[in-house]
Amino acid sequence: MATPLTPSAFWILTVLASGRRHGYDILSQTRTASDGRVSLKVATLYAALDRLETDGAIRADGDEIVDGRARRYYVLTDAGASRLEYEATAMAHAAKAAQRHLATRPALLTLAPVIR
Amino acid sequence: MTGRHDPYVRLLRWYPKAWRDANGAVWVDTLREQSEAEGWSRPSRGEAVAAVVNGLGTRLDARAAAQLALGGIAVRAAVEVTMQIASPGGISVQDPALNGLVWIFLSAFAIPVFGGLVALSRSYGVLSPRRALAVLAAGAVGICLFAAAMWASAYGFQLADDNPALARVASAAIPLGAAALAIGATAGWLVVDGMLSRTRLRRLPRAALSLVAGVVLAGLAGYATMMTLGWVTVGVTVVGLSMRSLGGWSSVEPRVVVRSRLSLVRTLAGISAAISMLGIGYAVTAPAWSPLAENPTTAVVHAILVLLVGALPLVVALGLLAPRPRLHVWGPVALVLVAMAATFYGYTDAPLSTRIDSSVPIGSLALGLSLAWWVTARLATSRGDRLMAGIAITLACVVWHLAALLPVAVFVLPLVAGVLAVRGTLARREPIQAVRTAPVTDR
Repeated sequence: MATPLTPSAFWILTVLASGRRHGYDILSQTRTASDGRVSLKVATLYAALDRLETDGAIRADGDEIVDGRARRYYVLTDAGASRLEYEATAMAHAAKAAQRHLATRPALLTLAPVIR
Repeated sequence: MTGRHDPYVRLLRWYPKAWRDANGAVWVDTLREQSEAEGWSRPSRGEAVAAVVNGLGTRLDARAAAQLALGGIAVRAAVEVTMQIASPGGISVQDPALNGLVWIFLSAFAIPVFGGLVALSRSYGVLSPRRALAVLAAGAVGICLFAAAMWASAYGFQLADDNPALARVASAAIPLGAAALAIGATAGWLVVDGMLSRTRLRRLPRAALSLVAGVVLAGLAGYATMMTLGWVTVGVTVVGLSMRSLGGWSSVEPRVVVRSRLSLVRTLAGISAAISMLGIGYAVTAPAWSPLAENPTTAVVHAILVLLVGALPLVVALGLLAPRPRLHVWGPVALVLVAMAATFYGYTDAPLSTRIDSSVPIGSLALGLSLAWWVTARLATSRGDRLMAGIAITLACVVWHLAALLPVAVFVLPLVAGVLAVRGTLARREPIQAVRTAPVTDR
């Protein structure tokens, strides 16, 4: 069984799944993709990147100077893609289960306005 | 990256140099870009706090682990030497002030060793930088509170009878101890929860397990603080594991010994076995027939002297087998012989034991230097790291009074010497290859 991903690691892998990205790009994309629920600090981002790189989920893919700024690009590895897929499948199963149970819920709340 | 007065570059200084060299430029430019996108001309307070916490946490790496553990062992050794000088016969329990101070000293050395343990856990990826910092802070506070509780107990209770005002000091021991346990358990909970966060354990059992384990760990930490050598043992283990992380052992050459040398090894081991059997036989039978052995204790003392002499050929034989540069074998072996000589001197007037007070520290120092020399010559780390490991090992051997074990260790001599005499090696899996003409492995 794969190690569970923290929310920040999950969103970092998610945005890297669509391609090679540098630090600031990962920051802004994680915020957008998570609808603002994940807002990483730069120091936290690099701590998470260090850990994911050590775990083999991502790897650095070259440094470049763009507009006078140093940028390091990261890409998702096959191991990282597998972990993300496992996590996404588990979350999808959990979401489906929740929806299934919600669908069978007695209609007390929906009737509440009528009763009142 | 721009100048060092740049607020972004200043924040980078919280990280260790190796990390700055590898990631500094990228980190600073990402931080600058992020701040500018949010309309700031300098890092926001949140970014600054995150940088300080993560930077300090990142500093807790394998090298920091070794340095902290070594610092703790050095403090412990300094306390040991000071106590020996100030109170040669040991600190009297009737002296409450000194007795209380001991607890302050013990915590002063336990905190850096604990820091080394946390740093090692961080370097293994068990703890994130932020969590490691939190564990370190909570653990250090817990140890201080524990020391304060023990001090209050040792100092207050003994003087309360004479001075009722001091009863308040004594009664503070219980809340202080409870606070130490609570904060120590928090540190333990943070560690175990960090480890369990990598499993798919559900939230409730994970919290329960972490809490129970946290309390147990806090209790163990307190017990280690009370034990004379508890944290020293932890410290040496931390230094050893850190060295493994930093570079490990240099490759070992195959054991090849010329046939004539192998014969010499067996002969020396045989002599050692014979002398040591004689010594043990004397210890058992001498009270019955020897006029020198007035009682069984005297007989054992005489036997230890015989066994120490019997160990000499065995030590030389083991030196002949060691597949390493000559200097790094015979240097440590010579120091072992010095330790044995010191122990021999210490036992010449036993059981009066007046000489043992000086022979044990000298013997322990010689054994420590020997072990340090042997180990550091075989570590594949930088010179500074090897020096650090050597100092840690030497100090630990002195604090452990390692030479005090020699008189006991010599009683297994017949067994070791006998095996070597018969097999020509103590190795289990890789027996020595005896060759006729190959150059001796010693360089």
